[in-house]
This record gives sequence, C-alpha cells and structure tokens, in this order.
Amino acid sequence: MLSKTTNTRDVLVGKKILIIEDEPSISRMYEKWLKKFMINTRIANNGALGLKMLESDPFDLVLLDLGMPGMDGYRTLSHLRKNPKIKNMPVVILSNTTMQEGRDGFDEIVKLGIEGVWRKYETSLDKLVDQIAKIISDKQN
Amino acid sequence: MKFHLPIFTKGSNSKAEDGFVSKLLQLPAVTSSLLKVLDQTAVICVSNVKGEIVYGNTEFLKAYKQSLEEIQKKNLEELIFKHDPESFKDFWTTVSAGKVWRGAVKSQASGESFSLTEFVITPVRDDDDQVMNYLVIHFLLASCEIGTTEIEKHKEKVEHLMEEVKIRNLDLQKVRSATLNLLEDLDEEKSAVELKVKERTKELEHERNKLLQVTGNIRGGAILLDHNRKPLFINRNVRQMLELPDTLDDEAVLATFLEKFSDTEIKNFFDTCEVNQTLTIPEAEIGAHVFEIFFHGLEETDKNGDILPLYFIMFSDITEAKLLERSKSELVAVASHQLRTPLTAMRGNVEMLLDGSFGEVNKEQEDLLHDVEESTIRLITMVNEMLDITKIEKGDLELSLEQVDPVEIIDSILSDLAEYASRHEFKIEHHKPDQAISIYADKLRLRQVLQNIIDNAIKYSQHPGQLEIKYEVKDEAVVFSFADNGIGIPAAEQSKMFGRFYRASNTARTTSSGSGLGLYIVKSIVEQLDGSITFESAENVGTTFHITLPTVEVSKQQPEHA
Repeated sequence: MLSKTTNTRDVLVGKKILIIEDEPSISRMYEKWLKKFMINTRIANNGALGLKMLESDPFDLVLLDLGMPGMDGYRTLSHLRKNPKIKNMPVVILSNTTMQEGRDGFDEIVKLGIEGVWRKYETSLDKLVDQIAKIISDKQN
Repeated sequence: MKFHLPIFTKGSNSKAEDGFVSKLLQLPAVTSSLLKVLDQTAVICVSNVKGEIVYGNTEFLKAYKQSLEEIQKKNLEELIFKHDPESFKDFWTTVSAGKVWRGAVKSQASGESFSLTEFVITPVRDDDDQVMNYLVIHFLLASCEIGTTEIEKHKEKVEHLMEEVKIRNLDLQKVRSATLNLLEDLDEEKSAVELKVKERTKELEHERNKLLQVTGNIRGGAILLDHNRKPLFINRNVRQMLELPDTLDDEAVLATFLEKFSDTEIKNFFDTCEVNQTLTIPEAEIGAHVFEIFFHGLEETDKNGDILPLYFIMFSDITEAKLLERSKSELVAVASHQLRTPLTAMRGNVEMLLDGSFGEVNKEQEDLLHDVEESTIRLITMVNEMLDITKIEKGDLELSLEQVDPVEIIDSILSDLAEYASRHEFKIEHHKPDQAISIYADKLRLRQVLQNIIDNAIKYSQHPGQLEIKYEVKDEAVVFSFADNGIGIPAAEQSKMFGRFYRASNTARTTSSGSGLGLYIVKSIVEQLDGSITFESAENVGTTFHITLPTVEVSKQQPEHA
C-alpha cells in the first residue's frame, strides 16, 4: 500500500529537488526516499549554502527546514523570494511541529509565499511524495 | 422686793403645823397663800446652819415615816443625805457660799420602791442677811412602786425569754454549723471545679501547642480569625514571611498581612466564603514574590450555643516553586522538540524498510519493524501530549476559532480509521444528525478531542468491538455521544479519569498503551471551548462519553477572530 504508484507520481521522474536541512539523518532519509521515485536530490546543511546552490543550479522544488543554526528557514526563504533569479522556486517547508501547534509564526512565512508545509515529524513519507507530485504537476499545467 | 422666810430656831416650835403657818400669816396675803399651797403639797423641812433639823411639814413626816420629835433629834446628813451621800457632797460648799443647792437624788424608801427626788435647799437669811436656816424642799420627780409578784412575773418572763434566747442560740449554732458545713462542701466543690478547670486548661494548652506545632511545621503562614476577624492565632512563619519583628502583636501582623494582599480577592472572601469551603488564590503576585493563598471557612459554637464563623488563612511563598515549574516546562518543551528529530528519522526509516524498496523484508522482520513503528508513533504521541500539557498549564493553549462542522471532522477521522476498523472487525456506526451543525471552535484541537475519544474506544475495545456515535441537537448546543462496548472504567476509578497520568487499572489487560494524559488534554480543550465532557461506564460492558459544545446558527456570520 505504501508503494502505490499513481499517474500523478510519474511527473516526479527526473525532477531535481534541493533539501535544505541541518540534520543529516533527516536529509539522508528524504534523499533515499525520493530517489525511489527517480528524483534527483541535493542536500544543503544550511540556508546560505542552499541559496548559493539554488543560484548556480536549476531545481524543480526546495524542501526547506525552518529550525537551522545560522541562517534559518525563514531568512532563507526571505532571501530566496527577493532574488529575481530564483524567486519563483516552489518551496515546501519542513516543519518540526504538529498541525495543532504549528500555526503560530507561520503567518509570516505564508506571506513570503510557500507551496506547502510538510509535517516531517508526524506524517508518513508516502504522503510527502503525493504532495510534491501535486505541486510539480500544478506548476507544469 | 426682798422676800424673807420666817426664821426657825431649834426647839422654838412645838407644833409644826401652826408654827410655820403662823409665821406665814405675817406675810402679804398672796405670798402667804402660795406658801400654804407649798406647805400642803411639797415635802419640806428646815434645818439650822449646822444642818440639825428643826422643822418638817406633815408631808415630810409622812415621807420619812417619822414624828416631829424624832426628826428634831436628827440632822440632814443622818436623815436625808445618807441615801446618796455622793449627790450631796458639794452641798456644804454651795450653801456656805450663800447659793441655792439643787440636786436629783434617787432614794429607795422601802422594798422594791424607789423615787427620784429633786432637792432644792435654799439658805434662809434674817434681816441682817445672815443665813439662819436651810429650807429643804423635795420635788418628787418620779416614783416607782413595784410589787414582788410583779417582779417575779417579770423575772419569769425574763427567764422564759432567756430560755427562748438559749433555744434560739442553739438554733443559731445549728444554723452556723450547717452553714459552716455548707461552706466546707462549697469549698470542696470549688476545688473540684478548679481542678477540672485546671485540667481543661491543660488540655486546651496541649491542643494549642499541638496546633502551634502543626502550623509551625507548615511551610507557609497560618492565621486563624474569629467571627470579628480578630486574630485567634498566628503562626511564627507569618512574621518571617512578612518580615515583621517577633515582638509585633498579632493584630498589627494581621493588619500588615491584609494590607499586603489588599489588591487580591482576599478581602471579599470574608463575605463569600461558606463554612467548610476553601477559596484559593493560586498565584497572588506581590512584588517579586508569588504567593498561594487558601482561605477556609470554619465555624465554632460559643458558650451560648450560637454558631459563629471562623476563618483560617494559609498562605505560602511559591516563588521558587513557580520558577522551578517554569524551568520544568521549558525543559519539557526543549527536550520534546529535541526528541522530535530522532523520532522523525526513526519513523521515516522504518517506513522505508517496511516499504520493501530497500530490500526484501521477510514476515518476521516485518513484524519486528511494525513493533518499532508502533513504538515510535507512541513516543511521538507522548511527546505531543507532554507539550500540550505544558501549554495548558502555562495557559498558552491558544485556540484559533472558526466555524467548523463537527460531523465532517468525525467523518474524516472515521475514513482514516476505516481500514484499521475493518481489519480488526471493529464496527463503527455514525448516526449523522438530520440538520447541519456548526460549532465555533479550533478545528485542529476539536479534531484532536474527537480523535482521542474514538481512539480510546478502539484501544480499549473487547472483540468484536463497536462504537456508536450519536448527536443530540439542542437549542444552543450539541451533545455528542460515543458509546462503546469496551472494557469500561472501574467504578472506583471513574472520578480520576480526567486527572493527569491516570490510566484505569484494567487497561493493563489490553495491549494498548497510553500516557494517561489524553483525557486530561481533551477535558482542557473542551472546557476552553466552553463545553463539557462527562461519561458513564460499567466495567466489561462499555463506556459512553458525552461531549457538549455550544453551537452557532449555521448561516450566521462570525467575527473574524475571538
């Protein structure tokens, strides 16, 4: 049941996703999981590095962690949206909070513009794939 | 005019009656008749200057029971003065100076008779103004003639009276001794009472000491007030906590206490607190300190049997405890967030392994991985609940209110559970209401509440399990009923079900685990939504939870945010 493949997921094949996440155990996990759907992934362990990589390489989507040392997710997003080269990049926020907790402080992020919030802590990975597939497919259409 | 009485010499007259009177005849008529009256009524005698009696009138002779001849052989001293020589002692001095002598003399004539006589003895002068005679006139002032029988009678009477007095005296003595006995008894009784009072005083003192010890060992302050709100008792901590000297009297300490907490509700408590009720101020912030105050209403019966209120105030400085609690909450929050990252990795990686994409997983491995997955999810739930508790206790559980449809939420929960339910043969009946229901609530928190109740029904089910969900739509509220046929809650434990970390004893029989925080959180959220939650349960029969929440008219436009 986890490995059900729908037509929607087909859009993911060959896509390139940047994971900006300081926790290696988490970023590695996403990398492996997305690879299963033929997605190419790159990892940046902080916001500044992530922005640099986005400028130099084309990506289809960014998974952005919020709580990071140095440049955190909010500041990274803020820079990203101001940078004309990459400002239209789809961004999914990786949040460590539950849905019940996670609304406070999200207003500012939503204002900057995001494509989705991923509750990495309590939602199954399977659903993440569906979410990414939907965003990419929406953008293509 | 000079008045001269006739002069008598010894042996000059043989006839008393005629001699004196014949002389008087020579006086003017008026004087003569006066003298005649005097001679006939008064007792008169006459002596010469030596005091030898020369004359006595008839009355005199009668009074002295003597003849004229007899009295003429006697002098004044022998006949008259002898009765009372003391009274006559200044006689000679007075008369030899030519003055009239007067004196009252008590004489005892015979028997019991006696008389009180005034003697007026006047010197009588001749033409040459020489004293020739003394005229002795008796004026009887009083006489008393009492017979012997009468005396006897009086004596008897007196004796009788004396007897009576004696009897009375005896009676009096009896009364006196009885009184003395009574006094003695009273004394004994008094000592007994005194002993009792002493004992009781000792007991009371003991009680007071006990109270002192007990309240002294209380970490906080303890104040007991009578119905007039006067201090009956203040323990030593009060002075320490208020930084007051030990010498300050109780009234002043109380005044300082009330002044210090005057901004709190405590002043109203005196009027609002009922007997056996405890009112609490959980956090009274005074300066940099936080106090917890308990106000108990008590009562006592006074000596008249009237019931009077008493007030017992306990307060403690909980500043440190509050700081500790805050740091504990922070610790829980930080630790919980830190736990989330590894839990995320665990959950995700197990999910990937179970997916089979990273190599074939045999049945046994799959079971083991399922256990890891389940445990991870349980840990995740616990961390979430702990963070929720921290928020609830800090009062930080913020609700984002909007108009929500609870039926839709329950539908969504049930659809997520459908697969699990069918796999475990758990039957869920959802009796949707005929009309649309709208609740003004936080959608996610409401979902959390409903999810928790439904999850519990499944967790603590008996095979084959079932859950019936019903709605009772009232005027301004909806009552959700969740009736299961599960293991139920033991009657003795039902009151504790909404407490923190409480799990009913019979949950040990099930394979399900829980933190014991779920229902506490559910109740907190429901109450924050102005609702209430109750349940009825019978062990091994099932449990029915009722959640009542206020509804809003479906079409009604609600304010943007509460």
